[in-house]
Amino acid sequence: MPLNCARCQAPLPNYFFIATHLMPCPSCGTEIKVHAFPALFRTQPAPVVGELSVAGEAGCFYHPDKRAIVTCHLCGRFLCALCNIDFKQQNWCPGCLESSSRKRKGIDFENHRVLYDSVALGFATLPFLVFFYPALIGAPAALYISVRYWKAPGSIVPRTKIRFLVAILLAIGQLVLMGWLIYAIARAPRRA
Amino acid sequence: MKWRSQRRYRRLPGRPFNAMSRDSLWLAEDHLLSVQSNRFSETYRRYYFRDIQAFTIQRTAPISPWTYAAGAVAAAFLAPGALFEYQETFLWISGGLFLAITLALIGLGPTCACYIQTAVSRDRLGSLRWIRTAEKAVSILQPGIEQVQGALSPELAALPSEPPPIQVPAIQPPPLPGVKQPETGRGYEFLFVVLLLDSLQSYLSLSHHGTALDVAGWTILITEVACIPWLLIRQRRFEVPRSIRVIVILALVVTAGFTYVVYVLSTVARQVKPGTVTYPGYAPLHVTAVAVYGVLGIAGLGLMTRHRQSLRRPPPVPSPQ
Repeated sequence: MPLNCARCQAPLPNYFFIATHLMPCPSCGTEIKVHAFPALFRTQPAPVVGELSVAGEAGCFYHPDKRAIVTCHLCGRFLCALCNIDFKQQNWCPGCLESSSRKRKGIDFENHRVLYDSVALGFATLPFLVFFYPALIGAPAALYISVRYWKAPGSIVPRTKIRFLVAILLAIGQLVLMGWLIYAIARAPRRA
Repeated sequence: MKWRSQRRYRRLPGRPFNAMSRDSLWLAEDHLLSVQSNRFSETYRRYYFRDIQAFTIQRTAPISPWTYAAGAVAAAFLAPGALFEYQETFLWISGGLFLAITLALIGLGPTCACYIQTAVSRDRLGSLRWIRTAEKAVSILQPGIEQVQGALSPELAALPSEPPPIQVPAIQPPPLPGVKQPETGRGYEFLFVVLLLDSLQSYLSLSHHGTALDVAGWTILITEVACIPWLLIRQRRFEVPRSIRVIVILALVVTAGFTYVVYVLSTVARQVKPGTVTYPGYAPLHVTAVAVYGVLGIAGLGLMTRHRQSLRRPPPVPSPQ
């Protein structure tokens, strides 16, 4: 892929790759700075086809007529050059990679997570702050989510459980306040 | 009890100025992790060091558009504080706070759009919005990438990149004058946040009265009146989805309608009973304002977030043919 101007899509001249400050794009004049790396100039390898196996040689599990060159690090199947997937500096067969991705084995396969601590905190704060009375539903919901998903995996980047704790404390506080209000309203006619 | 996630990632500089979403960059041993969060869930994208071809930093504005907004709000608080003698403390403190925000934004310097390019993709890194921050993040990443790929020599940089640009026109014509450019949406986000503030102010007005709330109400109204026409004028040059344009026009109609009705009702009420704060239909009108402004603000922010995500998709690569 050539390196293009982010605004006008015109290819950038090579002097952009060694420039140390912002330079105007020759086409649109937008000031741009490029930090290029050798991968930009790497020639794309030719499509891998896999060599045919001759009599007596081990064949690929998926393509028996192709010569096996490596084994899958997980299942040990013989793989030809076409089936070998180099991932995390290990040799994977397509089946193991797909299976690991589906079962989310290891955080390197995950591309989405729900932040239950933020959901609980949202239930504990937003209904109370915005309209007050929906907190009757929001506070128990925050408590339930906090307890139910306390041990669920959170973000894959560093994150504490402080949101869960705050959500629990706020929810309990709101429930106590609501209970007190209900009690006060119930007691009011008797006083009169 | 496990209090912390695995300390596998180190946070890189950069924090977006967005109310609804939060992007961040994290450095791992062999890859860069881009996290796009909508506050309640996260989406991850990994860029392995061996695949990263380039970072492109494109200067977008001398200072952030939020600087103008913060400066305007600071002026809106400080001017009455200097001219009149009521609520001086509140006005000076609020104005000083927004003035500090304005100065801090000016101090951050020019803004940018930062892109990361691999052999098959080019994505915008939403968390890197200032040139200074982007440079800092790239300088942290550079040693790791160079450890895997090696340093870029001037001889290598002089080589034509793959595929050879011979078949690609050397210079593509700039966009035609009549063609609208895509809107980045900062102004729209600001307006939608102001609408939410209007909703909150209307809600508070149901139970509280006072000069502070009045000043806040007038500040919000003036901001809306200034912001909406500005955005409508910008729509002639910048392309935004139809749904967002409809919300802006609705905000104009609703603001004008509420202002007119409130003015008429409050004038009549003062004529009938001098010194009164409320007027007939005060509560229903404010409840309606809470709901309408809240819905408009939330819908606008949601649509704007979706629009910005669509802008982040990699731009089309010119075909060699």
